[in-house]
Amino acid sequence: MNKLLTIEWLKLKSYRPFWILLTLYFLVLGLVCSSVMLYLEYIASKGVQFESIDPSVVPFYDFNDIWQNITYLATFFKIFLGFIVVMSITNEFDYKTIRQNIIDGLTKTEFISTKLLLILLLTVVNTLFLLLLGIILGWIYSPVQGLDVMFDQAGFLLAYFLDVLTFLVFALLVGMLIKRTGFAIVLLAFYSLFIEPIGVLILSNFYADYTFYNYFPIRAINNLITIPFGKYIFQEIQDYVAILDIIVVFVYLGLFTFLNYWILQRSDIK
Amino acid sequence: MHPVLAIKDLHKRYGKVQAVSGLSLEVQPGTVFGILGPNGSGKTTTLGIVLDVVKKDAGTYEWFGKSPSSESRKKIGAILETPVFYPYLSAVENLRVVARIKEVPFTRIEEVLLWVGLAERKMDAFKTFSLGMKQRLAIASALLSDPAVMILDEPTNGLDPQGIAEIRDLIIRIAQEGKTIIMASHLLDEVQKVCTHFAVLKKGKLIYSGGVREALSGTDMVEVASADMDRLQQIAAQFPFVQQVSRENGILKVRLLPEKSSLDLNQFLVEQGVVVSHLSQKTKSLEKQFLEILASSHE
Ligand SMILES: Nc1ncnc2c1ncn2[C@@H]1O[C@H](COP(=O)(O)OP(=O)(O)OP(=O)(O)O)[C@@H](O)[C@H]1O
Ligand SMILES: [Mg+2]
Repeated sequence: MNKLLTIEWLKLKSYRPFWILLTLYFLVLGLVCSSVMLYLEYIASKGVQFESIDPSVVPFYDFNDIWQNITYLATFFKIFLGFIVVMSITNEFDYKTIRQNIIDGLTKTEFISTKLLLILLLTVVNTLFLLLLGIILGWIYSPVQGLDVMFDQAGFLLAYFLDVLTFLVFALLVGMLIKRTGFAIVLLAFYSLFIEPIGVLILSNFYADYTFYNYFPIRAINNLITIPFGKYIFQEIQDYVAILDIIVVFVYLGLFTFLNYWILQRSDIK
Repeated sequence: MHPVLAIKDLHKRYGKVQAVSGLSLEVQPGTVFGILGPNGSGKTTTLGIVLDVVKKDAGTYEWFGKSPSSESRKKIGAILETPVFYPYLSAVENLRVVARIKEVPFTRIEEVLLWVGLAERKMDAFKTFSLGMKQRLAIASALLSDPAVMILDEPTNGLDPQGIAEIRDLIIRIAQEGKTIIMASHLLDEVQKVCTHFAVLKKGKLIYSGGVREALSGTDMVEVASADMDRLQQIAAQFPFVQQVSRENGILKVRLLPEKSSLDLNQFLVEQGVVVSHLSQKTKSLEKQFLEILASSHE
């Protein structure tokens, strides 16, 4: 495992686009997640109201609301990590280095494992980043403090971890199938931002009695952390992660992982 | 001793194209084995299969008498078609990736770069290299694990005459270290200069396999001329080791038995009192042999 991680590290260490994208991602994620209060205060000053509630009193960063709030917000940015993952695999096809890696003595399983380890590492770092951000923001803004309240509801971080991990393994699969960087990135973005969400929207209009569309992959992943903001205008929200949703996502995680291995095992490598 | 590589009845089809068709082949240790064949005859496909990146349809192959594995690949240095590296990484960084894969210490990198004469450019990105440098880096990379076998697929493809000569010298030096080399090439002259054995493929089938020396000997033609051509022809025909005598444009062409050379013929003629004005031995080129082999195979 150490060997595989070193190999991936050697490949990426001086690959500028990777570091630029990654830095941009964390910058944007950090900025957006930490400026919600400023934004709410700004729109309040413009006289905007949420169902007669002053936006600036919304306790966005309060322990323990903060965890669902920022993890929900952060999931919107995972597509950029997806692009990074796509690039890291399609480049290997583009340069034909995947073939040379195997000729040099890597097994196909080891090759995919290097990419899965990269994904795992990205996801761990990403989750730790959010944990740190949550602690800092909560410490600044939250009227209640203390270890007991702080990490109550921090389980959303685990859901976030699973959410991003599964999405990135899906991104890897798209890269494995499409092989061309540009196409794969466009397809990943189109599918996960438009095709599936819009498809689900349409289906849910026609088949309101059924819920099968909740099991589409992107939808299932996004279902893990539901939108929490309704509670600030006194709506009923789901403030927990449903077991069924976790199971469904785990099934997808297993399926995507398996497909990545299977496709490579089965095919000629050009 | 096991053959380095033993291929048995290999088949591979791409859609309508039968790229490899019932190919059987053995490569013995210490040989420099050339694989010849026209474009599309299945050379690269065959090498791709034995390197585990192309799936075979049927047949078997063994490396060092064992079924293929990633472990056997680590002991093989191979380049398929073109040098393949991460364009944005330097020569050293690229070789580090390979060294990690092959589980070879990084100290080896300096050695192989020196060997192929790239030490001065080792910090430059691969994409800035000329084609000749790329080929040399590929050979350096193949040498990293000090492999018993090297596979080279058209290692001089696209190089200028000097580049070709450089790569040829490298290959000869590698062969002198006792490594087995398997090389696909179109340059018959190259194969003739460096290979000890060769095989000819056509439409995925093996149509010839044997030693380079054997293929080239036995077909020696000696050209002789003298003032009295009629007498020359008459005497030459009496030489016991003659296969065939013919006259063309005032020159006598004498085909000798394999073990005899122009020296023997000349000695015989002198003994018979014939003085020659011209004597030259034409060794058959591999190119000519190759074309004959292709022409004589049906289809
Ligand atoms: N990936 C592929 N898909 C479809 N057909 C292929 C593929 N690779 C090779 N072929 C076909 O298989 C046959 C053998 O190709 P191969 O590349 O092995 O030939 P070669 O002897 O290496 O030729 P060259 O001397 O031009 O390098 C050709 O007819 C080729 O078109
Ligand atoms: Mg070829």
